[in-house]
Amino acid sequence: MSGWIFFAESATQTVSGFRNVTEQNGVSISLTGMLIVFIALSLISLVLAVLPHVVDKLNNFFPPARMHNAPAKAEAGAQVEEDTIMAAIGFVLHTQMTQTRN
Amino acid sequence: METLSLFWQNTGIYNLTSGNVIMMVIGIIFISLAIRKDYEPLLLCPIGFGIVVGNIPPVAGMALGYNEFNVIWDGGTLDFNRASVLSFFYFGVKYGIFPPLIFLGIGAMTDFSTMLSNPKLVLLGAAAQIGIFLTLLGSLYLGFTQAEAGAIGIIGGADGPTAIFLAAKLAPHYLGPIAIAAYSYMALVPVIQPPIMRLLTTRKERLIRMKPPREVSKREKLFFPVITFLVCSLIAPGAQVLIGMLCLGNLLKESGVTERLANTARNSLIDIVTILLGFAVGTSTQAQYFLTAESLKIFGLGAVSFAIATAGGVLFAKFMNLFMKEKINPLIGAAGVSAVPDSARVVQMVGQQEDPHNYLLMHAMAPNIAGVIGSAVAAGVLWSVIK
Repeated sequence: MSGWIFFAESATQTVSGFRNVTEQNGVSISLTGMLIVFIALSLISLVLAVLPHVVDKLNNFFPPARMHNAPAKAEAGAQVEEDTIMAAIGFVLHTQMTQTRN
Repeated sequence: METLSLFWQNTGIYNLTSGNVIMMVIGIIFISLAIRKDYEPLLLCPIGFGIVVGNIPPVAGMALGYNEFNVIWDGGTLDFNRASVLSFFYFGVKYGIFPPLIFLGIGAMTDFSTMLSNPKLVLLGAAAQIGIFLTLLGSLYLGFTQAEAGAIGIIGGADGPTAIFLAAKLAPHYLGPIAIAAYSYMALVPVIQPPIMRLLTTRKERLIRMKPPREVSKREKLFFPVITFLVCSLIAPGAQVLIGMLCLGNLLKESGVTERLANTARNSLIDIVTILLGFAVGTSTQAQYFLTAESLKIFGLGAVSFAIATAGGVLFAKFMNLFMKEKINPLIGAAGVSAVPDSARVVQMVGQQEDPHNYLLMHAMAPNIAGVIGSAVAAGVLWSVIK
């Protein structure tokens, strides 16, 4: 059997309790951390609240350009439509030719 | 006969310890939870199997374990022969490569519209991060060092990649237990959260219906990743890798001109990284390193952390309702704990238990995504403050 220690205590950790919390600046780190997270997300929230108005103003000066992929999508759609029409024509021709032969 | 005896001494059966057996059982439980209960199967399956693989006892002289990364620089050539394959997988975990790639995929698959349409809900994502900082205090109380406490606290962010990222920086020796705790509790979100949500809300509050989100313009969606990255990274530079990749992924999705890249990021790439990350984390749970009193403490603190984070989000939503004309359903505060999209789904489930026609999922996605950003910022703060 190899020598692993079941539920072994780490030898390096000796201080615990409130003494460790104060010695390691736990309270100040927690308060600062929470404050910074709140500031960051509040700022994002604020910017997002203003953003629609800014975008509206911006649209007056720089109207939204047509996206690069828009024609591609339209072309893709047109291609599908074309394929469907060709299939339909093919089906009608095939049916008529079969009927003519009979 | 001597050869046979030597072979016998090198078999897994000969070297197997009771700890290895316990860990293998835990691995099999993870796999069963994934298959039978559908708890985070994409994560629990690779992690569970990784645990089984990682607990096959190592053989002396053979580079097999996750931690056998002995690449030797030998007079102009690199000798990779003494490094195991598992150690190369684990390299991405140890050096924080996988978590940002996961964030890239999350960014490419997430629609931030609900958050953009109701920016107030972002604050719920901030409130839920209280779990991180209260757990940090709890960890210090139990005798962990500052760096270890920071790494353990981040479990409360309910974000596996962030937990791994920070643990790799602050407490690499506890990476296994922290990662397993984070992913286990993420998988157990449907079990942990509902009782807390019901305990802290009245039936009347759970029945609150919210206004449908407004339509968000393309330009707003394009501005969002750039603004979010700048705000978060300028305030907490430590978060720039995670937030940067999240925002890049979202920009690829929303730009409309990089659909191929966005598709790769949200499908193939995130799948590959999830497999490698889950499996590598699983293999790092060898009994001799994992079954310690500290691991048990980390698991206990993780559970407390999750509970506090859930309560923090719900209570802050109730607090916001004191000042708001249009009330928000406090259940959606529980989604502030990240765990995208499971906690949002739990909100939907608990809400529909009271009113089957109340659809909270879209609203809950806003604090859910804000929680991802919040936990990444918290990780950046802890990394820069503690180091």
